[in-house]
Amino acid sequence: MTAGRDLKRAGLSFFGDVTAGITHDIRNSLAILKEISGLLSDLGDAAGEGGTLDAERVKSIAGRLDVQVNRANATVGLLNRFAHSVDVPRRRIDLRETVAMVGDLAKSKAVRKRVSLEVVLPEHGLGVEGDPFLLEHVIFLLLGMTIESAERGGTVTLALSPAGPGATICFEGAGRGKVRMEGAVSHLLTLTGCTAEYEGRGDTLVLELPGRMPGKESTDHG
Amino acid sequence: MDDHRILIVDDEEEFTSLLSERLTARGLRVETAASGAGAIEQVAAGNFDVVVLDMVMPGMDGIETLQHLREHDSDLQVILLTGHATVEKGVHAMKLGAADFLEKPAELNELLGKIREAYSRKLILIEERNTKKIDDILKSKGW
Repeated sequence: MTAGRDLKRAGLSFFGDVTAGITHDIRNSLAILKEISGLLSDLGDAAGEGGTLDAERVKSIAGRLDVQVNRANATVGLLNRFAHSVDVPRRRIDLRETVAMVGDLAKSKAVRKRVSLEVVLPEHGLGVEGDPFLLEHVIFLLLGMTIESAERGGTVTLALSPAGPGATICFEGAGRGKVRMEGAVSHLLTLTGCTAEYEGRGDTLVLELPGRMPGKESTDHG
Repeated sequence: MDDHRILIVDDEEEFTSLLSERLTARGLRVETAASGAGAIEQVAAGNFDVVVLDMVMPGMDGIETLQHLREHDSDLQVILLTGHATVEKGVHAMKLGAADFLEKPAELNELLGKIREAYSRKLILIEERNTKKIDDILKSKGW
């Protein structure tokens, strides 16, 4: 199989991984909504059999319903933003938005590993030009590697900061030392013009992003 | 269903709280746990008939928890409940001793049916073991 096919497959796998995680979250919200609906139905049945309907209780249940609808809405919004990252192959990328989104996408991975995930963003906007999907993919893979190697109960920090015309993203908290950059990660680093190096004993991985990633010049995509 | 003791295990505490309330209203004795480790502790301390177990949880997942629970009590009936359902995972869980497998969001009546079936299966297992014990005693005495 060629490197291009490998990367295509890795891209699909990334999309699948994210979608599976998000549908799981949505199903959890739906399961809660179903129980809330069932509880309201139970209360209605009890009231119909000569009992009373406690207005405060109903209000409280409505509040719980609202929390779950907002939660599901935020999850769907995240999936929607992610899905639109393949709309164009090259554009100006808002790195604060991208890093925050990848952090949100990887949250369930961190929770399953019992690792706290902190995202640190600069106060001011920071942008580079390139392919948003490739950049999200490389950040997600490096974050996944860091979470996997972090100690259970530990904290992984994803920190974005400006660096010359580009930016730096630090992945702090890897507990098991350095992992070789190979396969999809290596291809993605080449395609995005980024470099990834471990610092110190290997507990921090630093991704350096150029201001303009390799590839065709930007077109106006609005 | 008054005698059934059920443990619901899920890291979604809002879900366990709601399901617990609705099952309790239907006469079951229900307790909840928010993790696999918590479920193992509660099963070791109490006498549960059926565990309704989420597949994906922080730390110890549903499959690992299922294995620990079945090692502790081979009569314990475990129904896996998950938002991450695939046929392969279901088959794998059944091979490891799960009594049943249900996808989220589930109908309460379907879950209640599976709890009843699981409880009946537990009673049959106990009865078969007791019958075998009696048979063995009778054989050893030459009767």
